[in-house]
Amino acid sequence: MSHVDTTYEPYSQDPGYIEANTSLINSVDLSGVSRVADLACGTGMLSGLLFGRKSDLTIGGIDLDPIQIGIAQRTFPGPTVTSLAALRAEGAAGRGAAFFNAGSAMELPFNDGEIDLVVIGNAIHLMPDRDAFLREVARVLRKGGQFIFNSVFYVGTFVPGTEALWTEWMKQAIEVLGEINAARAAKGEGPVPRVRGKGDRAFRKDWLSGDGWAAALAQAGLQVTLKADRPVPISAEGLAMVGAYGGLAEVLMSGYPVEIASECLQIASPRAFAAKGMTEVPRNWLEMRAVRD
Amino acid sequence: MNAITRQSLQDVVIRVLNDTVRDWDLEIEGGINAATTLIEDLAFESIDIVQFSVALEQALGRKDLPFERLFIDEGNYVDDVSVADITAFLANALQAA
Repeated sequence: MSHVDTTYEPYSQDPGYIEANTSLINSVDLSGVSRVADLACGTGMLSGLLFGRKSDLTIGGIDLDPIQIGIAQRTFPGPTVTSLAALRAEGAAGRGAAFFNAGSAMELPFNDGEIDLVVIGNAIHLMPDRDAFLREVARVLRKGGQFIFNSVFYVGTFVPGTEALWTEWMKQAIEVLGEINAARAAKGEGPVPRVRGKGDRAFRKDWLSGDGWAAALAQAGLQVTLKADRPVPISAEGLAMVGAYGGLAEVLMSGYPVEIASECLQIASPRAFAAKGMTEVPRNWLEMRAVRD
Repeated sequence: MNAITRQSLQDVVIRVLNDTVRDWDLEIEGGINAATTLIEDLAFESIDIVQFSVALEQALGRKDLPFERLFIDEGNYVDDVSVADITAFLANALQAA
């Protein structure tokens, strides 16, 4: 078995992914913004883009995964501090900095109204309680503060006519798994073990449309000022990097060892594009911006 | 595939489903039939859907059945599908081929 990097870092370098997030960040009005919360920040891409636009921001980045937090700490293009108190002190002194910390975006460490801008990149669909999450965002935002997010997991993400590519990708992943099992059998080993019951039941994705998100935001006291679909092309190489990400692989191939699931999805990508005679496929990103009442 | 009947297609679907869930420790009252659903009755996870689709293609000697038309409707995943739904989909897909 080849080694697969299952962190989010490889996909975060994909040109399409960078374009989608750069566009999102560049669309934000940063006048009057000093204190930022980057939720489910992963490797800190959005934090870095924001700091690149305005170097006196203080940014609190939060992610459940300490490995991603470590990468964010190492790669952030500005100074980092090691506590929220230190971040507040930097802000009080007019200096920009970031503090990345492992934690849940459902329970934010910020005071009521402390934050000018909350961002969450391609992760809002992962929040276990959508309404509670939005209430928490509204709690930490000051009046007039902004909330922005994007996501590729929503009703409308599939560009009509492209659905077959995504189906083919998963079918090819199963074919790769079959090849791995055949190789194991040739060595006298059993098939790749699977523990059922580790994933949600199929199709229970609870996706919202853009309008659905707008209604949920309004209920939390956040009024939508932008709702847009941004088609972003993804190549075979980009999709391979998406598949290699362990957090997605363990969902798409629930119950299989993550390393093997990641390997299957990575190898399956170019095969799927070849089978469909495609070199890239567009997928819509939902972009939303809202303001705290 | 020309001579394949709706009933024989349903038999294939049920046979593949029985193979799929054989070791799952499920109690299916009356066995799998036309009304059985993949998610509510058989507790399918996403990857089970894919493995079942591939197994169906192998059973039917095909590699290009457009399962996305069965599982995605107007940009969203369907809530569930029954054996009867799958059989109807296969009948249409094979007729169109």
